[in-house]
Amino acid sequence: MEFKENKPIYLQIIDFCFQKILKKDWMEEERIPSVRELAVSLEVNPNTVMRSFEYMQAEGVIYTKRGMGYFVEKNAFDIILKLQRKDFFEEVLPETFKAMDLLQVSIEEVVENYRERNS
Amino acid sequence: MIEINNLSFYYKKGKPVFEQVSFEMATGIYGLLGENGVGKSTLLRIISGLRFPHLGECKIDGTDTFRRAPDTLSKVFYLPEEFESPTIKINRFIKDNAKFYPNFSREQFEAYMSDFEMETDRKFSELSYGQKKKVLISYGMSLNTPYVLLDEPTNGLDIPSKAQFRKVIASAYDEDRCIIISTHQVRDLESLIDPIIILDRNQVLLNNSVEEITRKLIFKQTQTKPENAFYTESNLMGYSYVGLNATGEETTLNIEMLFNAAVANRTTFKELFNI
Amino acid sequence: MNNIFDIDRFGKLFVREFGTYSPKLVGIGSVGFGIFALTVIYSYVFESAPFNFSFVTFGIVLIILAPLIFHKGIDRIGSIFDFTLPASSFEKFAAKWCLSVILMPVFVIVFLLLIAGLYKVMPGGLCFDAGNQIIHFLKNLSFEKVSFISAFQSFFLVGIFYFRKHVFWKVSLSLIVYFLLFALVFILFHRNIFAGSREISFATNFFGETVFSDANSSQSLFGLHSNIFVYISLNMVAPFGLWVVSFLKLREIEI
Repeated sequence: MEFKENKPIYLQIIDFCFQKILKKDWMEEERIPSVRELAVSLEVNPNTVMRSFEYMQAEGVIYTKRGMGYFVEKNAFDIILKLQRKDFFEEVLPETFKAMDLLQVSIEEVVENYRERNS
Repeated sequence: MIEINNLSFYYKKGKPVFEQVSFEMATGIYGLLGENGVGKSTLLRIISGLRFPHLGECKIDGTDTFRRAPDTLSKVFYLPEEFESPTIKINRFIKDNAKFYPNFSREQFEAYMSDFEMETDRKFSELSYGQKKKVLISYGMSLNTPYVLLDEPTNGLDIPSKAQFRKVIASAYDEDRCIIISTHQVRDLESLIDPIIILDRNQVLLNNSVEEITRKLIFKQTQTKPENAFYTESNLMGYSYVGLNATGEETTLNIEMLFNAAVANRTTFKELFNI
Repeated sequence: MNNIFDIDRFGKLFVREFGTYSPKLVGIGSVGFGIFALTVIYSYVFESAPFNFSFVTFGIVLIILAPLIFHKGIDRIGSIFDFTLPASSFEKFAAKWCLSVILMPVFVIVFLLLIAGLYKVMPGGLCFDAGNQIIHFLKNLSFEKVSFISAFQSFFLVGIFYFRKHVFWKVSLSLIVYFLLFALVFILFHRNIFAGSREISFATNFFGETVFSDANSSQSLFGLHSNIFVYISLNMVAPFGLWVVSFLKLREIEI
């Protein structure tokens, strides 16, 4: 996996996992790859993956069944949606607004662009 | 646990390689970094018992390494950067040598070999340097020794092999293992190594986990030239720099920048990281 | 004890060492038999005794140089796997020792017996005596001759650990120096013998019997058992002392 420069790897791994769950690649109540399997496929230190898993567990997105690995929580989809939406409003949108200011893009242009995309 | 206490070592009098160096290595995938000739290979040789400390000690699980005790040796695998490869068949090499290590697994050896896309029934003499290296890496990892010392393991490997190497290390690592990778090729191994040890001019500047490092330092990109940075580099987008982390912000560690910053601020870093 | 000598581990080590060097023994044996064949052919062609190639000398040289034959040079790159192999230094020394001190002499004796036997059964009987000569030598091996060969060999055994490379030349040079020193000591001890003579010749025949003669008499060194220095030096210091020194040196080698 190619990692971006400005975000800690363990956070990028969390984003990766969230994407998988939102896209329904990983279904609720189903087993996800183990720490080691994920470390191998992403080619990262297993401790980094462990950190990501601990965060996700704390947020209630995944849970562990002893001896069997990690599973997606029942309402993980909703939790992630909430977390990512929060992230979108707190991080992504301000950046977009900054760019809009710099490039003198009006909100109306943005709305029109959005409408065209969805029609 | 590898314990190094007040280690001093030199090849020539007056030019010490290590001067009263002390530190410990427990479990983890350690990245051992340092300029050419600083002593990375020498450190690995001392840990594997090939060289003896002049002053001070180096111990593995409480036993001095210079004793070359078979119990200690069976816990360590050392793959040097330069090696004289055997001329025999791979299977014969495994048969002759693996039996000295109690935890060797033939299945794992074959699994790693297939990860590297290598066949086990060939002769060493037919292989290129990179291929020989892949065989020895597979062999070394399948010995399942608690301590693995790899000196520039990605040197000589082509790009796909480097990715395979990362996968092999990630899959071989577990909480009881100490894998030490000495390297210049930081980009090959950036996301894999944690903790990081930086050696410089007969001292240790850093021996910390990525988490500790990113707690104390920030690695950022800005448009304007930063003040009070430990190290700054200009690039297309402005400046990237390493600075003190005053706000607790989480940034991604850039090992090359970290190295340059450490070398440029030796005493500060030693204090900052309690060496 | 387990950390110093473990019979299983030693066995594995010996098998490994033997596996590395057995091709050389096969090669040497083939060369030996090749020469044997040539001497027999000579015998039939010229209808005489076989060409006088001294297999005994060949065998003795093999034994003395065995440490070199079973050694591949110690350097910082090639010896890494040998030194990091999980076996004690004593076991590693013992493996080399067994190959040189036990395996090679056994190999040579078997080889000589075979050659002698073959000589004796060659049809025509022309080779019979050659075979008998070999048997005669083997029957008359004295403790002194054996320990002399062993002592000579032990110099080369120490050599492989002290000199690491180009061992043959360095050990040979050292032996010459040692011999000269030894001769000097002998001369000093026995100055009275030289007192009256004007012409002295001083030589060593193959079995190290240093023969000293002048116009009137000749004496052999081995006969001078009262010379303790010589006796201890050849029969005790080497080889046992040198074996101990070799082991201690191996333990200290850093690469």
